[in-house]
Amino acid sequence: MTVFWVDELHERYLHYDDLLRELKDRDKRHPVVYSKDPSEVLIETLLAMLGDAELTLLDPEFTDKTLRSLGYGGDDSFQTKPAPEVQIDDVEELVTSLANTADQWSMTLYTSGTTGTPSAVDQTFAGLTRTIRRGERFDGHVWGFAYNPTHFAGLQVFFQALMNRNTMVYLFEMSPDEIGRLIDSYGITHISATPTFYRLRLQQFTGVYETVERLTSGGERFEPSLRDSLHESFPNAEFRNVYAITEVGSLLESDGELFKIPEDRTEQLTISDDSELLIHESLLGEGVTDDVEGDWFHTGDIVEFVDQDHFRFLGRESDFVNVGGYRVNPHQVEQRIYSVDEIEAAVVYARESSVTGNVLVADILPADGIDEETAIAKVRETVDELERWKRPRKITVVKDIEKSRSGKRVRRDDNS
Amino acid sequence: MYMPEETSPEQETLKEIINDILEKKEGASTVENLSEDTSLTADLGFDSLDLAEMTVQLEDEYGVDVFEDDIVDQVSEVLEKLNK
Repeated sequence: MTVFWVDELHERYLHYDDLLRELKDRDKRHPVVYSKDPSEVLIETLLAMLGDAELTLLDPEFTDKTLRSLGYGGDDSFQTKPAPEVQIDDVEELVTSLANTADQWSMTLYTSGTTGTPSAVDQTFAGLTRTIRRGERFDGHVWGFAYNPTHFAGLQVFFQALMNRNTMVYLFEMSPDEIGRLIDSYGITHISATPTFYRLRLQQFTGVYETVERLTSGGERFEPSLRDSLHESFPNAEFRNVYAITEVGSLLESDGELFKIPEDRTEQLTISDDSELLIHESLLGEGVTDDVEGDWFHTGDIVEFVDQDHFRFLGRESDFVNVGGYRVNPHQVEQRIYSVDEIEAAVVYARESSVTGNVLVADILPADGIDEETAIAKVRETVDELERWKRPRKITVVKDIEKSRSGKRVRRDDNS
Repeated sequence: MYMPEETSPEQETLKEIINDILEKKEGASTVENLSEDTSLTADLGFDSLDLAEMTVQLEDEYGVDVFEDDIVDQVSEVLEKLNK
């Protein structure tokens, strides 16, 4: 019997038979799922689909404060409901019934949105599985699962693997050594991950892993040198770069860092005069109203053409920075620091990082009579309530905040 | 007589920076000794954000981006970059 899910971190090892039993035996399900165990997230997703029931997935990285701001603070947010009666005896039946019954079914995911505050997006099963391929040639694939399962890309890998009865091996929170061992032990053939994951984990490999047939990446800029170094560890792997956003899913594919809008997509994708990638609203999931102007959704992703057709992604629009794949607005963090009584002024800005693309840092000016140590401690206390990627990783006390500010970023009102 | 292993000023600074990060990290504890073969990711549990923070702190101290050319993971590799 094929293995369904291997996760050494959460000590989960399930065959497809075990999955069917889990689905059959559970008498409760959760309409709102907030779990650090990825297999729980995925099993709850299947239960909701089979029962044609509502489902919201919350990122396990969300802080209590974020959860409260989204209305999920109290215990009553995480109620249970009776699970549907599942009478499915084999995996083929499961796959067929998922494919047949769930076309109009939708779930709620959260995207970081342009304000950096998570916003809800409804995703239909049809949208989630638009790019999923099935068939005999996908038999026997073994997936390295290297995403957060509440993110669109993680769900795509999940359904791609499940619909082809493939094995998934959880790699996301593992160290490079453990990942290397897991690739060898389970003969992993496919890995899909963000460039940050490749940069920090797979690039450190010294061994050669011949079982891997394909590496897929997306979400951030992917430099050619990273691809070269991956090729040394994975000599048999084809490389695919995918541009996807939570609101829509996969949109563009390439074998390197250059992309081209396919001919059948020219009505739906375009590059604005400001070099921003725009998406026609007809492609959007329900509930997306932010950032739509006229018929076009502004992705905030800025591109650079290298010839008439081909472009590469340069990054996000100016106010936002990408910290390890997360979109962060430094001004929002700055405002948070201003709420600290012991602080007179602050400026938060991004510094380039070879590790995460960017990292936030803060310069602060303590209020009168407040010493440096107290000021830093108070700011740290406040920013510790934010998601980890939003926290300034260095806090420096300065004597003149205006000097600091003008040196870090140009203010729009500087010329007025 | 117990003779502590001699550590370089760079190693001391690196230890301070690492402990500063570990102090803020959920479920982590600081280290008393930082041996050269310590792995930042496997032994200390550093993730990408922790490595980014360490890099920023080291860059301000020594003007060197230890991750600029390639990935470093062992303490000895970080020290080698700082001493280049």
